Amino acid sequence: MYSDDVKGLVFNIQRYSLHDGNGIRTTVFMKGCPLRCPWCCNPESLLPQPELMKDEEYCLHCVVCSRDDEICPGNALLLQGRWWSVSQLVDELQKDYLFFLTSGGGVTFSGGEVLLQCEFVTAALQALVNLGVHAAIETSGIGDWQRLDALTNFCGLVMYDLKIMDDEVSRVTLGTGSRIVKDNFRRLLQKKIKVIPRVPLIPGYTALPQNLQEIAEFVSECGLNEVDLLPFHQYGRKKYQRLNKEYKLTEQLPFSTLEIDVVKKLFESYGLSVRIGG
Amino acid sequence: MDKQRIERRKDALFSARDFSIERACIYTTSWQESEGLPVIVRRALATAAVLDNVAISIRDDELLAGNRTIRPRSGIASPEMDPYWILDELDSMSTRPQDSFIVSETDKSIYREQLYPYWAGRSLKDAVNSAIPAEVRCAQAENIFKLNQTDKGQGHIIPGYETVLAAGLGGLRTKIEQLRNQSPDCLLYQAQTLILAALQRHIARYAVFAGEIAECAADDARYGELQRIAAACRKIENAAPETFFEACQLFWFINLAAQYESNASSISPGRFDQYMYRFYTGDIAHGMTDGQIKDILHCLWLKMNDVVLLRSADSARYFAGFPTGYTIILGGLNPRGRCSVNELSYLALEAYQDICLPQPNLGVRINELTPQQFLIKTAETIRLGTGIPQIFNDEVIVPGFLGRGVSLEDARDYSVVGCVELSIPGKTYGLHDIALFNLLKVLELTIQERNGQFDDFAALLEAVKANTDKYAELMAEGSNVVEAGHRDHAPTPFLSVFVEDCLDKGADVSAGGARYNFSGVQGIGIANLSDSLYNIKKTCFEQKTVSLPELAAILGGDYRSDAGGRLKNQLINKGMKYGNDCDEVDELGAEVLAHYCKTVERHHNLRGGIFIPGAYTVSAHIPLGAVVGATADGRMAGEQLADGGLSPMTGRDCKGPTAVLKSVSKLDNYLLSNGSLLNMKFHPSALAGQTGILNMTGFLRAFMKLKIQHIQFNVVSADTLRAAQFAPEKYKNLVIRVAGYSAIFVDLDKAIQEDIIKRTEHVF
Repeated sequence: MYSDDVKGLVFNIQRYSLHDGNGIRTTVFMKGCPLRCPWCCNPESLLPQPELMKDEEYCLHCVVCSRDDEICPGNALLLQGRWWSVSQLVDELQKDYLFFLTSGGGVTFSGGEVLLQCEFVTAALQALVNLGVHAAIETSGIGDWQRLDALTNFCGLVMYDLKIMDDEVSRVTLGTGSRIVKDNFRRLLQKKIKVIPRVPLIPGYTALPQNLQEIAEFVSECGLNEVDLLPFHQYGRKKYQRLNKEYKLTEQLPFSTLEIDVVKKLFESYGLSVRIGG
Repeated sequence: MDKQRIERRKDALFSARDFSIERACIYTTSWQESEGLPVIVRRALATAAVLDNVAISIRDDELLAGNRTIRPRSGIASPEMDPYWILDELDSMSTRPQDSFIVSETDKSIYREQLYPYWAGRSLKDAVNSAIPAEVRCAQAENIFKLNQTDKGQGHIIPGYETVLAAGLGGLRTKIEQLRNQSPDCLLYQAQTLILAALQRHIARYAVFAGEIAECAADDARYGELQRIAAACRKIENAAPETFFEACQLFWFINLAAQYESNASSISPGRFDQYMYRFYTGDIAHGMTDGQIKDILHCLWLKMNDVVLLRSADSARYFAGFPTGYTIILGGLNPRGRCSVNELSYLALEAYQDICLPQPNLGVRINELTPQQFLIKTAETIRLGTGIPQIFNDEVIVPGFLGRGVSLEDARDYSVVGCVELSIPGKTYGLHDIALFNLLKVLELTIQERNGQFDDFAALLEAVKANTDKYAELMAEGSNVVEAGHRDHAPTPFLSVFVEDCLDKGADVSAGGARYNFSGVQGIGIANLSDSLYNIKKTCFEQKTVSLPELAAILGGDYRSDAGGRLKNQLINKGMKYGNDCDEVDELGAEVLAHYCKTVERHHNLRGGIFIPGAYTVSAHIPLGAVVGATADGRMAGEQLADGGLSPMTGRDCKGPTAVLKSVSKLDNYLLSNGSLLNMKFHPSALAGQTGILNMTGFLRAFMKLKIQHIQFNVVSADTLRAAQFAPEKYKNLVIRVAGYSAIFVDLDKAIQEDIIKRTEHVF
């Protein structure tokens, strides 16, 4: 069915996820991403190889630092990214099978970008579906159609990010143009699979009137009737320090509920039902 | 009741609490006059004297009559049980950190000059203390176990209300008179007749009193309410109740009388929605509305907060914040195993949602047949954040009782006493809280005895088990001494009216009259024990980075050296911990806990029953932690143990609530037939919206399928609790879950507040 030669690089497995699809879910975060969104709340997800993260707050200042997360007594060093075989991962994911069953939940693959590890994720999705587990993915849609096509053969739900609609602005800001995002989105809808567009609301980036309007137009043109809005937060900020990376949105305040409501109304004016926070 | 009226009643309840000496004085005078008579008769005369002479009142806005004390929430002294701590604490009682009471100077001198001199040398405490064998005393002094109930009367029982609701007090008296004619020498019947007659007179006093104050009522509406009370009292003084109101009024008087007799915690109402249901349907058929029924429930729920117990400062540390134990369990199964959720089950929760106080301590029994609608109502109530209702799982508790020789029908009828103690209503005298057994202390002692010299991990495990056997035997011996003390010095003939088969056997509950006779003893510290054993196994016997004698020395020094500090961090951060769904560590805990259970159930009590194990701490994980030195799970000396009973150690579970449930499910919950306790704390966002409610019902169904006995929730953010600490006056009604019970957060001692704040909060 699948080969254990294929390994996947996973940086987190989060059980009891309530906001990545229906019910109680386990979310698998795949490591590696082609995008460089300045607001990314998972900076440890970007590089496609394991990396060591250090939290100075927990450092006990041993005489000689082991540089080894398995030895570090204070847990200041944490290795981000471990290689899993499909069968190891599926065993781990089955631990909450009962909760999936009783809550209508399942497993969601997120990232990073799942398309980068298409072969592994497809095999894992197939194995889960064979066990009767509902499976979903979260994707930016950036990748070959063939990959997305393969992956979504075993998904009950795709949560699809729509960030910056202008091809050029997208290329400059995120590192990739948006044409492929739109193309893949349209093709996906042909497959009669449930797709929920998700819009991160980032002040100064995505949450610009023109951009939001374009997203709303695009979604309603595609014939969809719902959208998730994910308001900006700074929860990932500390992780930038731990990775010695610069966080560009330090000064940026989160939106007020009033501001979010304005955006919500905009989307609703296109006949879309809006969920805040997904 | 409308919102304003409820708020007025709540405000009136929560003023400063008084110490009340009234019962003690009446009781003592009666006891002095009855010298020479048999103890059980003297007890009955004393309770009867209280019922005849205690001052009565009906508070403003109340719809039902019956107050234990004139001032709300007063603490009643029972010098007949233990006069000593009261004497020692008379002066400090108004200022102590936990559960304070104001003692008047007059009461202090009455106590010092009249009550104490009489009871010193004559109390239950004297009888028990003189009979405790030296070896048991020694083990107690080493803090391996703690014997309870040596200073207060017998509670922790669910009276059977069906009989009295069906026959009325007059009917019951007739039945006992007949038995008395058949066995004229049986002292129990004589005692019961005395108290029942006194209770009838007590109710008659209320009938007159209500009529009198009705004449001065401010308006017609209040006049009508008071006349309704007067009429109901006149009727139920002798006849069986016919309406929901009359049934509640009689129910409440029975509760008060039992309190006057025992002055003890947890005379619990049991399955209120079942035995009251026929009165509900009767009233509805006669045109009453759900709203009118709810008004009565509001009043009753509020009244249950009017009774609090006076405990010694030490006891208040273990049972902080007044777990009075008006524990009512809703839903569940009927005798044929079908779902027994009814309209009253819903109304009980709805009425509670309007009150949101620590009592009644509502619980919900769930099983495969529980309707989703009821589970939703349950989750909505949990979302209010008071920790009520707690959840019990029929799918594991019913089979657990079958393993204890309980009939299938009785097992399906189980309910809960006090916090989480499992009991068959009206048929059990379970001594559910007779002792606490500190499993972590046993590990500490076992390592110390041999300075850590063990050939291998298996040898250590065997030694822990052997010590568990040894001390469990001493605990059973000690518990039986306490049991004999209650039997010989403090029988409860009134309570025995409501427990089958006391009347048939002619025996008091304390003398083996009940159908089911257990003694419940709690194994404490299983989370810390699992984590410690795992760390020892890995570090000392597999990786061999530290030998056990070396580790023992570091623990003796409380991790205070540089190397010790590093090791402590390593043990906390690198070792797997219970609560993260890791088989290797969970199974270690499961093995020791199962051993404890099997050891305990080999011992017999004096009533022909056996000892049964439980696993809950109430708030005792703080004092029980204070007496254990540093442990191999990275816990410092004196630090608290894991809360609840089966909860993971605070902050050590990091894989979310589903992993916690998985870990708990690996312990054999079927064996814990005295009850167990699992605390879980959710951030309010986890239950937000309809999606949050549905996810909660899914979570509860998985809990049920995992065969875990019990779970309860705090749904409050740490920010709110911190805010309450800084401005207690703004949060005087903030009710949160402590252990098997809820309490008002600002009423709790700082250490317990901190413990609740530190418990892992599940967000996502």
